[in-house]
Amino acid sequence: MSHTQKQPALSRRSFLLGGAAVVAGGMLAGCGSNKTEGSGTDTSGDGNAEVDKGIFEGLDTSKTLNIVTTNESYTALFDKFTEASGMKYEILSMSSGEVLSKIKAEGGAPSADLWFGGGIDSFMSAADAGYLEPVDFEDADKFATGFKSDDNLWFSKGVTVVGFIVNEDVLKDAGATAPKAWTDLPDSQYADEIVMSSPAVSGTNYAAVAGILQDMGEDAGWKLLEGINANVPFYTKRGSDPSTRVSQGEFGVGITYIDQTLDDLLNDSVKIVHPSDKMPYIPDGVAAFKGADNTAGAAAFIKWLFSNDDMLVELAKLDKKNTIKLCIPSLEGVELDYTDEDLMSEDISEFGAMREDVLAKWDQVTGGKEIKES
Amino acid sequence: MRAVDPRPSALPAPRRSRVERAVPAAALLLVVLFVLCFSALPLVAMVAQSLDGGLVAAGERYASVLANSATEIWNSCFSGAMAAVLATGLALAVSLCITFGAPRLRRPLQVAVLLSMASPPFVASLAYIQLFGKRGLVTHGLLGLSVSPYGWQGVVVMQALFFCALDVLLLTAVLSRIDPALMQAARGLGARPGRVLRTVVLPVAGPAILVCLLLTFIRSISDYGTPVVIGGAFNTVATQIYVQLVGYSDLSAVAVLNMVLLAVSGLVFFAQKRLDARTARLVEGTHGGRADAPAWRMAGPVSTALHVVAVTFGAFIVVLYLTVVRSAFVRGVGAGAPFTLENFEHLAAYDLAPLGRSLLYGILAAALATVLGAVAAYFTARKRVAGSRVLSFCLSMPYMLPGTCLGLGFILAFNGAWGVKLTGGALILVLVLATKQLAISADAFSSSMAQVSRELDMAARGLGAGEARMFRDVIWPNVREAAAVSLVNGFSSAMMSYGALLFLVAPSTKTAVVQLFDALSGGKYGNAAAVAVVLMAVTLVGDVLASRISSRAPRPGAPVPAGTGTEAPSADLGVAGPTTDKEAR
Repeated sequence: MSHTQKQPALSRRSFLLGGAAVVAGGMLAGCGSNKTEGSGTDTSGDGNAEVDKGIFEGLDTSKTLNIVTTNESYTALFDKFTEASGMKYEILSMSSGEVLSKIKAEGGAPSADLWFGGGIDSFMSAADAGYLEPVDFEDADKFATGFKSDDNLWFSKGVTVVGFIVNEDVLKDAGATAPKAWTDLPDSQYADEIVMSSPAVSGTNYAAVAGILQDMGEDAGWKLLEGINANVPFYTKRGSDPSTRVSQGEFGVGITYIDQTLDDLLNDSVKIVHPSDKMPYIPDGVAAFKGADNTAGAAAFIKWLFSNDDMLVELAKLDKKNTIKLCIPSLEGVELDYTDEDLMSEDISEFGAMREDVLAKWDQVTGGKEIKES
Repeated sequence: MRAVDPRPSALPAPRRSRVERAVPAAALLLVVLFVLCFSALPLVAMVAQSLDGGLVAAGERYASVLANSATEIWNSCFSGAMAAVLATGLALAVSLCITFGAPRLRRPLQVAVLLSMASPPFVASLAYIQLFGKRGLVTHGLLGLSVSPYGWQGVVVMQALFFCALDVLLLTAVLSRIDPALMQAARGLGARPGRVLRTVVLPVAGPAILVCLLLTFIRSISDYGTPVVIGGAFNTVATQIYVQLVGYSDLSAVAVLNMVLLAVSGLVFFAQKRLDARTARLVEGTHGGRADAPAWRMAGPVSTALHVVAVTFGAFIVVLYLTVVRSAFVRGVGAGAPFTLENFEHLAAYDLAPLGRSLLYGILAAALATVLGAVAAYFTARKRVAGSRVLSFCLSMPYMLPGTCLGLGFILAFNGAWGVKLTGGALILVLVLATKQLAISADAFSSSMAQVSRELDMAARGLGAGEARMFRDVIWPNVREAAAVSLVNGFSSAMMSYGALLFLVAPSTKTAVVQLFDALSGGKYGNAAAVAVVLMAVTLVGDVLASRISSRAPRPGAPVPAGTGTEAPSADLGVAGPTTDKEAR
């Protein structure tokens, strides 16, 4: 199998340059890598088995793969890995901020091997601090620019978009209607009805703030955030709070990540809104920890997952979104659900560098609702 | 009182000399080593972390953190004091009703107390929002109100409700040991029931009340779960620590904030010890009642008021728990959510192994904390060996830190950098859980031991009993309640511990509470509630079994082969007889 063909070059700022273009480019790449249909020259099933064999050669499968992940819904995928490799796994859910603190405290002897899911800014920090192991493999070339680190320290398995969850019953009582766009939120009809988690704590809400600033520009962005702040009574300290509080009827509008974990919360009056003036987004990372007991197992998992289109399609099913196609445009069998019509124009690579300044300014703007130490 | 048995066979002097002198020395050494390794060392690691980067950088860090946290420090102290007073008052009412109140209420109140001890973190706060939130079943559903439940009031109320359970256990243990003859005498001299309470009961319970105030204050200021969920814009030092950890991964700033908490707790701790020393004299000589003395019952308006408070507490706890149980059996949230069993199917598929681990770690940690706590209390409160104060401060320290920070201290001390690597395994979890609750164990044993007259020690000594034997025959029969308190508290808190484990669990050692928190974070209330219900049930069963210890006394007068002395300690030494008589009732 030849996956040596490079992705059509996309500049960092414009890698979302036209959803159609990306899809077209992806199809081109797909055609070139003779993995078009099951009836191609190379049957993908055999190919995968060969790939698997190469990846798992020499792997000590008596070790367990210890995984930290964002939620347990990925077990079906990990089961498939166990099936293919013979290596058992254990998972633990942690937010990416917690993972970062834990890795720091463990002082280079991490108790987990694989980091699966979480905001990419945390992966960037971990990579900068030297906590991640590079994983080189042929198919790493398939990633679009910006969706893996230059030295293969982390990879993206999709993106998380940020939008609204609304409770129409609550809004009706407050005499308000569901907002359709970010620019609706400063309206006084939403006074004390908006819940948002602190961008310091929640990776997605940091992406929301950073995305708004990058897409709308600093001045317009901060003005909007100030307007929203006027309607937010306080900022919660856990990323899941906005969605759960809105579904409980505590607030009318929540600013939240939109993913499959929200499905349980939705009903006739609790709904998701994709803002019409575009959504901020943040790539979801995958990485192997350096110096762990089973770093080799984690590396094998990464190679196996990203060299195996069937598994990526499976992953998209579990995620209930196809944003993996943004990361690997050549992937067949999934249709992009968001294009740049839907997504804000962001420079993810700046997310890490601008974080400190953004949070400091955020602190000033929200004055007292959020207090940040040095 | 039975006559002291003068038979020489009860004093196996030759066997005692070597073994019985070695045992206490070894026990003391073990406790000191444990406290050094697992209480002091993690703290040293934390101090080192707070000074990271040299003294100048550390000085700046301390200055800026302190300057930025003035509001949070005040909030912590304020809500901590409020919660401590409220919880202790509540606990006093409940434990007075349990001990001296209407006998019919005794059991239900004890169950309510055990229920509130077996409360998983976050779940009760979420139930509070479900009940009293803007769309709360009570505030909105029943009363038609739409009020915001967020703020310090909710935090104080919830902390008081759930922290008072431990206070009740401590106070009940003390109150039940007051000699009823004291109250009878006061009544006989014409004191009204309220005056009896004020002038006889309360002074005797004084040291325990101080301990309750201290413990609740410390628990409150180190609790981040409650303010994070229902505090709203009300930020405390503990929530700031959480934000620093999760948001900024700034371990040094976290360490400084911990030093702040520790300083506050330390001040309160020493204040309590000073007051305690003054009141301690009052307690001596109240070692249990006579078997034939009729039980004393409260009466009058004060008693009625206390009963109202206690019953309200019980009702509140039951309603909160029913709310959680309901969530476990419905899909989604809200008043019209349909019935389902799928939450328990999910639990059977995913959460059984973590539940088993919780149970195992909980049992081990409770046993370890109880044994070490008993020994530590014996040497610090009873024997007052040199360095007692330092030892008891050291073993109280882990309790003063928020769980996350104790966990962080453990991870820093045992990540291999200092030669010992425990991270990633199960042992470190048991150790951190036992270390955290050691303070409670030691306090419970100290309070009980303070009530055992020192003359008993001398009498036993005069009869030739060695140290180990004295502990077993004089002290132990009198501290059975304390052992029960320690086991119940150790087991419950280990089962429900989240913060302390947050940074220590590895994927292969995650516990049920970790699963619960995970489900909550994912918005899966039903799954979380199902885990909570099973966790509460298991913990309750464990607590009931543990609390049996206090009532299962050896039968006095049972035939004991002379010289074996394994069971029936009172028969052996005779002096402690009346005490066990009463307990066997």
